[in-house]
This record gives sequence, C-alpha cells and structure tokens, in this order.
Amino acid sequence: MFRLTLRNISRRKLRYALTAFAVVLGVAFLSTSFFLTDRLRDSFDELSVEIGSDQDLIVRAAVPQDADRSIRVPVPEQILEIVTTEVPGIKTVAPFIRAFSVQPVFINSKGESEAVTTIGAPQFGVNYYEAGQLTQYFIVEGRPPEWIGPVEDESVIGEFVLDVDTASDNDFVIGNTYQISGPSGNKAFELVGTINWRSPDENKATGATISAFETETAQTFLNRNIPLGDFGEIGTFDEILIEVEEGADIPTVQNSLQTLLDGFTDQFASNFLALPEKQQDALTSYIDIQIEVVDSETITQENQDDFSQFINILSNVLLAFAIIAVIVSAFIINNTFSIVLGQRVKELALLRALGATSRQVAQSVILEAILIGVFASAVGLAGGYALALGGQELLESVGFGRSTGSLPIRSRTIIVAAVIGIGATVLSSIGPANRVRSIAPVEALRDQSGLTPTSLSRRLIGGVSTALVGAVMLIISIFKDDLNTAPQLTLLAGGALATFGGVYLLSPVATRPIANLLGRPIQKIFKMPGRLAKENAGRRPRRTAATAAALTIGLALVSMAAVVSDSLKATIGKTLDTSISADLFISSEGGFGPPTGFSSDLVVDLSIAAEENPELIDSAVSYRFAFAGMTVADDYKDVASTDLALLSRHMDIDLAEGSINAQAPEGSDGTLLLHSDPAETNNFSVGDQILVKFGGTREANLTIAGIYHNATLLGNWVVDNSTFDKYLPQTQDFFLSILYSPTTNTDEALGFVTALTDEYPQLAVESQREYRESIEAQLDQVLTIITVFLGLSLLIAVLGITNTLALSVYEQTRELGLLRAIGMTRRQMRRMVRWEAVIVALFGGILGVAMGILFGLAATAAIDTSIVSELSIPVKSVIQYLAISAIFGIVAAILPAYRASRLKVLDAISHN
Amino acid sequence: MNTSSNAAARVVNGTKIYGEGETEVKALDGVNVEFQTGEFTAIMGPSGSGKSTLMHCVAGLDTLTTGQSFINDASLNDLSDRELTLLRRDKIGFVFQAFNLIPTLNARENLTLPLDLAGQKVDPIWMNKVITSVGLGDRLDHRPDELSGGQQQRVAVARALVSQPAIVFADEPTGNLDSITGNEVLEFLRSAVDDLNQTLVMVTHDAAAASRADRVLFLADGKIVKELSAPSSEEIFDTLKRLDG
Ligand SMILES: Nc1ncnc2c1ncn2[C@@H]1O[C@H](COP(=O)(O)OP(=O)(O)OP(=O)(O)O)[C@@H](O)[C@H]1O
Ligand SMILES: [Mg+2]
Repeated sequence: MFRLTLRNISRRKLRYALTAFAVVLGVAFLSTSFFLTDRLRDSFDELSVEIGSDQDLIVRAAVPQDADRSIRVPVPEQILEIVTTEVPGIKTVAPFIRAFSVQPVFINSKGESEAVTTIGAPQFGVNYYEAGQLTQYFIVEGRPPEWIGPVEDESVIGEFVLDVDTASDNDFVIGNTYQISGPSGNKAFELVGTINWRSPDENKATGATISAFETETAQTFLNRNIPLGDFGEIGTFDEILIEVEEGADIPTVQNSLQTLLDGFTDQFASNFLALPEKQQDALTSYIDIQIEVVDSETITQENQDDFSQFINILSNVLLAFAIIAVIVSAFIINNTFSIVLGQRVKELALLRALGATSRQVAQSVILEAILIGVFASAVGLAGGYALALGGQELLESVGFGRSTGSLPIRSRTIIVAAVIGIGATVLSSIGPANRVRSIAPVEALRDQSGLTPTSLSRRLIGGVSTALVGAVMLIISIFKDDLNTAPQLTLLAGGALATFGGVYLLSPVATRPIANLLGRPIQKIFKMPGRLAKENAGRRPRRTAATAAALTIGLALVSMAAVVSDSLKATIGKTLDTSISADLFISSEGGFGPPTGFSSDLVVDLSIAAEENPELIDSAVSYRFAFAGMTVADDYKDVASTDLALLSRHMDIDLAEGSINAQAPEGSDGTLLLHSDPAETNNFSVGDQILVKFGGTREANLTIAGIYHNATLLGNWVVDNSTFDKYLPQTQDFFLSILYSPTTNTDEALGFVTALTDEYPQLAVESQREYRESIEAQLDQVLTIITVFLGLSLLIAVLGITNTLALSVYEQTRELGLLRAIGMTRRQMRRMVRWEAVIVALFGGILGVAMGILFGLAATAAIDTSIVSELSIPVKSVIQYLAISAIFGIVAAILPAYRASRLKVLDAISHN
Repeated sequence: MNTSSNAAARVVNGTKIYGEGETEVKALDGVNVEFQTGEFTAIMGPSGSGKSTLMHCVAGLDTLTTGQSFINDASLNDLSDRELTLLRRDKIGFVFQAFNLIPTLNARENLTLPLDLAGQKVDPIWMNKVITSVGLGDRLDHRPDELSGGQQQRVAVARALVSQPAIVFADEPTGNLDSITGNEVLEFLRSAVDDLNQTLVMVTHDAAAASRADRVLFLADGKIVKELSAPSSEEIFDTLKRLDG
C-alpha cells in the first residue's frame, strides 16, 4: 500500500505540488513569524541582560508613573553625594538622565528643517558621562560635550554628541549647530562628536536616536530641575548607577544604601514644610518620593518583561494571520483531495475489486495526506527561514534593529509548523478519505463515476441551523453592551465563525443562481465562450463553492476591517463636524509609531500670543495622555488632561450632567470628568468623590464634575492639566488646539501660529480638514497593514482557484478537445477558462464581502459607543474588493487557460 | 497529378510517420485519394491500418509528414493553428464515435455550437431543415445526458451538417450503437448526402454500414489497397476476407 501511495503521488506531481504549495505558504508564514519574533526576543533578552549587568545597583524612584514602569519621577541630585561618599564598598557611581522624545533637527535634501524620526524606536536625550565600567557612551569622532554655560540663557549655545548612526543617516556634521527639540523646548546646540552606545566598537542603539549632553546642561535642557520658587531649584537625575567594588557583597551594599536613602527621603520631605502650601502641592510627587535600590537582576527581569510583552503582542498578531492562512489552505487541500480522489474513483474501485479492503483504500489516502503534509511542512519551514532572513534584513534596513547574528531555530517552531502543516493536510483529507471508503468494486466498470458527496438536504439542514446559531450569537453580542468583556468577544467571534460555516454549507445551493447571474453579462459580451464559462462555473456547485470559500475568508476579514475603520472614520468625522470649534490642531508628525510629546513651552508661547493678539487668536489648549496612567478601583485607565477652563470653547464633549470647569471643593485634589459608559458601570454620579491612584500608587481624591457622551477625542477619563502637573509631572503635551477669534483674519492667524511653531519642525499645524485627513490616513494605514497581512491568505486563495481550474481542465480534456475540433479557437478557449475563474472568484468575493460587512457592522455595533458611534459601509472599498476578486480570477486562470488552449486536439479527443 | 480539381477534399502522396527509429510507425504510406462533392465514401480496413490517421490528416486535426492535403483546393500544409481551427469550424463537420456533445449545453445549443463559436447568425430555413431531419422534436431542449445514445449521435450528425461544411468526417459513428439505432443514424447520414448533397467520409468496421456508401476504400498498412463502387455487403465481406488472408 505504501509503495502504491508513493507511486500515486509521483504520478500526479503537478497536482500534488499545487496542493502542497498552499500548505507550504501557510507553514512558511507561520514559521517566519516564529523565527523573526524569536530572533527579536533573543536579541532583546541579550540586550536586557547586557543592560542589566552594566551596573550592580540602581537607585531610582520606587514608584513608576505608568503601567509599564518606563516613566519615573527623577530623584534629587543630593543622593549622588550620599551614594558616592557614605556607603563603603562602592567603586564607581554615575548619574543618569534619560528623557524621551528628544529630536535633533537637520536640514534635509530639500533644504527644509526636519526632525529626526525613527520607526518606533525611542529618541533619547541623555547626559554624557564616563565612569569606568558604567560608561555607556564611547566617542567615535570628535570629543565629549562640555559645559558652556547656562543653556536657559538664549545666547548660550551648548554642546551635544549624537549616536553615530543617526548622525551618518542624516548627514550631521561635527562643528555645525543644530536645533534640538526637547522637553523644555527647542534650543540650538553645537555637535561636537559622535558616539557609539554600549560598545567602543559598535553602536548598539538598534535604531534609537541618542543625543547626549554634558550632565548639568542635560539637567537644564531635559527639565531635570525642580523649581522651588524662592528656594531656587533642585537638580535631579533619573537614576544613579552603581558599580560595587570587587569582593564587596552586593546585597549588603544594597541594604545599607537603602537604609541611608530612606532616612534621606524623610529629611528631604521635611525640607518642603517651609514652602507655601500651593508650592508644596505642586511638588507632591517629589515630596512623597520613595527611593529604591535595585540590583541588576531586577532590571534585567523588568526589561525582559517589557520586551516580551511587546513581542508577545507582535507574535500573536503574526500568528493569528498565519493561522488564517493555514485555515484557508486547509480548504484548498480538502477541495483538491475531493477532486483528485473523484477522478481516481475508477482506479480505487479497481483496487477494491482486486481485493483491497475499504479500510486499506482509505488509509492509502490518509497516508498520501501525511506524506504531502510532511513534505510541505519541511519546504514551508525552509521557506520560512529564508523569508525570515529577508525579513530581518528588511527590519534592519528600515532601522528597526541593527543587530547581527543568526536566526534561532527553536524546536517549538519546528513542532508547531509540523503539527499545523501535517495536521491541516491530514484533517482536510479525512472527509474525502471517508467517502473513498464507500466506493464499491463495481464502480470500476461504470462509465460515469465519482464520489458520492454529502446529500444536499443534509447540507441544507446543517447549513441553515449553523447560520442561524451564528446570527443569533451575533445579535446577542450586538445588544449586550461593553465589548471589553471576554464573553462578548467570544460571542462575536463564535457568531461570525458559525455564520461563515453555515454560509459555507449553504453556498453550493447558491452557486448556480449566482453563477447564472454573474455569467449573464459575460455571456452577452463573450457569446459562446462566456456561455460555457458560466455553465462550467455552475456545473459543480460544491467544487465552485469550496474553491470560492478560500477567497471568501480573506475578503470577509478585509471587508470587516474596512467597515470598522470606515465607521471609525465616520464617527471621527461627525465629531469633528459637530463638536469641534477649534480651528487648528498641532501634533507631532510621528508618521509611524506612537505620537511623540513636546515641550509645554509651545502652548505657553501660544497663550501669550493669544493674549497679546486677541483680535487674531482666542486661545490655545494643550492635551496630554497617560496610558494606563491612573487606576480606579485597581483598574488601570487611560487618562487625558487638558485645560478645563478653556475646553468648552474648543470642543463640545456633549456634557450630560455637571459642568466642565467647576472648582474642586475643599479637601478634593481636583476635578474629574468621565464618559457616561464608565459612569454607568461604576455607578458614579456628579459630585461623587472618588479615590484614584496616579502611576499606580499616588492617591488623589477627585471630585466628579461632569459626565459626558462624546469620548472620541479625549477618551473616557479627563482631568485638568494642573492635576497632571502634580501627579504625573513627566507627561508631555501631545496635542494642541487653537481657536481663532471670531473676527480674525484666518490667513494672518495661521501665519502667526505657523511662525511660532516654526522652530518645532516635528510638529504639524493642521486645519480641521487636514487633521481629519491625517486621522483618516492613519486609519487607512492600519487597514493597509491588515490587508497586507491577509494578502497571503488571498494569495493562497488565488492558488486554490488555479488548482481547481487546472484539475477541471484535466477532467474536461475530452470536452475541450471536442470544442477545439469543431472550431473553438485557442483564444476562445482561454476566454472560457478565464471567465469561469472570474465567476468563481466573484462568487467568493460577493460572499466574503457580504459576510464581512455583516461582521463589520456587528463588531461596530458591539464596540463601545464611546469609540464608535456611527455605522458606515465603505461602498467604494467594497466595489474595489469585488473588482479585485475579479482580477484574482483572471490571474488565477492564466496558467490553466494556457494549458487548456495548448491541449493537443487529437490527444484530447482520444483522452480517457 | 494536377493541382486543381472539383473535389471537396483530397490527399496527394500523403505519408504519416509516428515516432522515430526503432519505434517508427508508418501510419500512412503514399496515399492518394479524392473525395468528390456530394459523394459518400466509407473507409474500411483492419485495426491500425491508418483509417483514423487519414481522416485526421484530411480534416486538419493532424498534419501529414510528407505530401499534401486539400480542402476545396486549399492546402492545409501551411496553415497556422488558428487558420486550421477556423477551417474546421467553417468547412468541416465531425462525428466521433462517442462524446460528441458538450454536456452543459442542451441538444439545440450543441447543434448550433459551430455557428455560435463563429458568431454567425443561424439561417432559419436551413436550421429548420436540419432540425426536422434530426427528428428529435421537443427533446431538443434536453441536455445530452437525458438523450439516448442514438439520439446523441443524431444530434452530433446534425451539428456536423449545420454549418453547411464542405465535407463531414464520421469516425465509427455507429460503433457504440446497437444495430437498430445504428441504422437510424446511417439513414440520417445517407439522407444528408442524398437530400443536401453533403460530402461525407465515414470510417467503419461494419460491412453493412459501409454498404450504404457510394464508394468504399480499403486501407491496409497505410496504403489504399482496394476501391469498390457502391458495393453490396457481400462484396465488402469478400474483399475484407481476401485482404485479411
Ligand atoms: N499518436 C500516435 N503515436 C504513435 N503511433 C500512432 C499514433 N496514432 C496512431 N498511431 C499508429 O498509427 C497506426 C495507424 O493508426 P490509426 O489510429 O490510424 O488506425 P485505425 O485504422 O484508425 O485503427 P482502428 O480501427 O483501431 O481505429 C497504428 O499502428 C497506430 O498504432
Ligand atoms: Mg481509428
């Protein structure tokens, strides 16, 4: 039996190759995502260990300001002295400052100022230091930056060094002066050198930008000085890095240092008691400061956790798309097996007649599937490895990591790829194998023979009931609020799946009518070849339906995403149209990745300008966002802050109750506005005082001043900027809105604002329309990424159509020969095959788009109304998708049509 | 041999060689033959004697290795695939032993298929004549799998006639039929020659069938070895027996 199986496969090489190719693609995608994410994980792990082991101990604020620990309040610089002088066993100490969103500005090839951007990698502003083992920055060219004078003085031009990759990528020249945009605004600095990060020989910045300043300069420019009014100011560092002397016991040093620092913080806090209360308030985060000493293992662990969180998201997303691709291939394999076995019924019956048991025949089919699965998985893995190599190059070439090294091959990758590749192939062969069991020996003698398919009535019953279950699940998920709950998501996904299953079972019933409908215009245009194309498409409904299903899956997902994205656009559009009165918006031109914050100097400047030119500008409002920055009843929430006194002039958040700019009552730490949804779930009402924690621990009693309906721009939780100043002082402005005076000359006002923002080349000034367009462009970008990732599934679907057509052409050899004999030209024959493919593809496309719209609407309706409140179907995209399906059909038909047209007429008419 | 005549089709010095060297087979070996307009020719001969090959080479389904074949004085030798296809569509009718009809089209559509492929209008008078002669009546709207074997072959014959071709080739058209239905089909072929002046070439193993022809050619080893004019079944039998022996 085994030898027979082998022979079968080798005899039908091409057919099996096509089948296997679908699996190969799926497995390749799957393993590529494993290889790449493993590679990233490894290099991040390595980096974490390296970074962690640089120092033995770190002194830092105990409490992070956000959920992922990356932002902390800096510690007072006095600690440096304590660490350096008072604890035995410490060898080297380095003060460390690291600010985010520090962007050097260069003159680009068009002669314009442009801020350096990265693809997702951070842009650091740091203090340059050299401290033995702790040294992180190594001069490549030039010299270290030095103290020139107080850089708050406009006339003082400080010095900086830049990481060598950023410098060479953007043609920075040592000796030239560049603007740098940082937390305290834009200032000019002279570039005095370039540096490698972490190694004297190689810059390991993996795509990040590093601008380093002399330490005191850094403290000023990177906002590490806390103003204390009459008391002057206190300098701070983000961390203090420590190298312990050889032979000293690290935990002992750590403990004695911790004790000392605890004593220091108590004293430090008492220093502030002399300050006026208002100032004490503004310094809460520093007064309450707890300082911790952590060892390198903790740092390594934290970094690894952060990285693996990020990589897990990435790998889960990739995995999801890979699994979709594999599912699509399973449909194709299943279909191919059914067709090929159908064509082999005679031969199998002959085997039966010769004495093979039905079980042996079925087993030989499964064995074939296993062999194909093994082969395809192996090729897929190899292909995946090659793809991953390419992917790695690509990532490096766009600046996402510059690491070198080989791709890790984990046994997990191989096992999962093999299990999924072989599993999908074998599972999809079980159905056809079972039908092969029922082949009777006499079929060898029959003229017309084929596999007996599942009866149509069973399909009808199964299909209708599955689709109904799906629809009911979808409806429940729509009417049950709050999608964030897992059961609702499950319901939505399950509903979609069941609906798809039902439609799939039912689709053979619809094949004929739809093929006829689609075929009518084709027949009109292409006459007889069109007519035959239509007939061929409708001729084997199950085959057509199964072939189309692969395309249906991909297009359903694409259209679903398109509907959600379009609804989001409509919601934002409506919000902008109806509730925004501000005229201009300013935000960073991030391009890719999260937006970058910028100095609050700008809003101050703009507000002063507004005061001075009331005939032009009414006011400017800034907005900040802290993701997971606040906890309510131990749940992390994203919170926004803005200027509540001015907010209502800039936008209408559709206040349901209360007021926006109410004064916080005595004993309350501030006011809070929240969206009606969380108000309802938490049972909050206006006037309630609730206890929240900023940055996970810093408690504040906030009074609910208002409840609103429109959360499109600000999210669910909003406080005043002063609250952020106090509790989350490290948060930067992300966004500004500007309102013109009613009597303004818009050109003049725009010119005015543009002039003020000129020194921030990373910022874009946009009108309402432009702002809307840029949001839409971002949504389109996300949609494009989704579509690209689904592209593989679509490619596999095209392959499926090609495969089916090729098999049909083979099956119809004789018929095609007859057509050629009685006068069908090659061109007409190609046309016939091509339009059959178009009909099949359009059939899949229509089903896919229809289901996608349904799922998209269901998802949109189920998503919290604070995010999406409008339903919208992107008609243009839908038409595009259908056109693309048709094109897919044409592409899929190229090969089979060519083969059909090249059939030798004589061979064909004598073909059995 | 003169290059022009009023034959519907002819072959001059036709040879056809399959394979090379060891496996070389001379399927046709210097064949000269003419098929006059309105004449019904039957071709007979033992299996492997080259009957089908001859037919295919005259009908533009295959090309001669050497020699020339003509349809209506037009040489087939230099025609491209497309020209050959159009020639088959417009000038030649085919009836094969089996699988003559496209299963997705009904009888009427199968019948007009060559015209439809050519994008030609159907001449209603001619069409009527053909349809009446098929004698299928209301069964014309049925698909081939709903027709009997004899009915299917009659539709195939009618299709071969519908484009008023210069010549119709039938390769064992009754080979799959019982003698009664076979007879009906032969009757239909005969009447096409008599009533419509159709040129017809039929390959057959059946002496009774061949006896309906105006002339019978006997092939052996790729050569025409004997020609009888309007012979009876007995004469044909005798000839066959002699050739075999
Ligand atoms: N494509 C081919 N390749 C090689 N040899 C061929 C091919 N077609 C026919 N032949 C050979 O040419 C010779 C003539 O074949 P042909 O089919 O013309 O015979 P036939 O008289 O029609 O026989 P039958 O009565 O069995 O149909 C035979 O020996 C056959 O084996
Ligand atoms: Mg023959």
